[in-house]
Amino acid sequence: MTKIEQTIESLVTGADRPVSASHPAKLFVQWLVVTLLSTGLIVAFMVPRGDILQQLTAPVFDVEIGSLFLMIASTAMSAVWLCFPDLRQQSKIVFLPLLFVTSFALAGAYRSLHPEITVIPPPDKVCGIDCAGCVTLFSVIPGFWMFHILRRHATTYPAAAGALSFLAASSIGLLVLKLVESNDSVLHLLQWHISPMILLAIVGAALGKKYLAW
Amino acid sequence: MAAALAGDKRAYERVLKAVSTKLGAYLGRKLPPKDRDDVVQDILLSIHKSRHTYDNTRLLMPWVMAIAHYRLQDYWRKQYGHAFHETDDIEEMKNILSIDETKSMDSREDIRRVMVTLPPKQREILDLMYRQDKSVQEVAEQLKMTISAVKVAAHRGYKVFRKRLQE
Repeated sequence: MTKIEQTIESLVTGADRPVSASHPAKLFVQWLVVTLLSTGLIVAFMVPRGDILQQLTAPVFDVEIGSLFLMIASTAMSAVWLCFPDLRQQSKIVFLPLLFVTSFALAGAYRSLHPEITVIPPPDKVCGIDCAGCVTLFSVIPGFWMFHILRRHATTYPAAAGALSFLAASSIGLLVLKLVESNDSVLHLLQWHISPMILLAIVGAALGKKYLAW
Repeated sequence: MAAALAGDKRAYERVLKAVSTKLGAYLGRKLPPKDRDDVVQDILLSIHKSRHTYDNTRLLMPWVMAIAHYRLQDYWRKQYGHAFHETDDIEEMKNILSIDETKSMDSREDIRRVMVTLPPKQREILDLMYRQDKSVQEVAEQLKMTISAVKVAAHRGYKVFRKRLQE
């Protein structure tokens, strides 16, 4: 009997009926619903920005909010599909976030070309590190929850899965700040909102490489 | 595979055998023969561990190959890692162990003293590799160990050796 045959025999002997993994759509919807509900409660508690009703009538603001929402959904979806070794043979889903990251970036570019539609508070009312802290705080629980989901499965792209988990989670912080903070300055966004997101994604990739490998 | 996941052990055995045959043929083109069986076994274990993630409504082989590629990457990573350490260690070890006869007796005494403190297996491997100048394969054959086990033991032995020599 060869070594491979021995391995097969021992695997077959010890094989119980496994509990099949949930459908990724179910995992995704669970994560998204709980996360968005808790985020909605936090936004209500934090008091939305004063000009929210006026901003909601502005197409650029709507595009930004829509892109952010779809960014959260698509990155979470990608991360959940990455739980499965073959991505359920639907690998295109992983590239979906690129679409909404691009639309958010285009809205930002439009804003920088039209300063008249951009709300910028006086310098003494501009937050800095608080915003980065807020983005990070909002990412912790959803990010680690997604990590927990990933660990129960078998990703073959641990670094990408880790990065996408934290990107999805930090996008929530970005959405909350967009609804709460009256500051649409593109520079401010880049420095204090987007940079922490990128850093968190890098941290997620490193953690994924270490803890999601199996 | 559907029957195997439903608890049919015979079906599971048939699936694993069919998969191992295909993997053997596929890996035969990519790996040296001595490592092929080890990698196939690794992949079979991974398939077993992650079988709950297989979706019955989809094709089996893309799922198997995704796992196979993942394990193959691990294999190459380990190979390159070992090769890197081995090159470093062998060069350093040669410098330390093949001391010129004209050098002081103290250095040779130090080496002998430290070698004695190593665990017997590591001491034997280091002695064969660096004093008797045998290749990893020759040492593996002589000690009836796998090549990677010899490399790992030699690397660990070297690390302990270097640490103790510096003390």
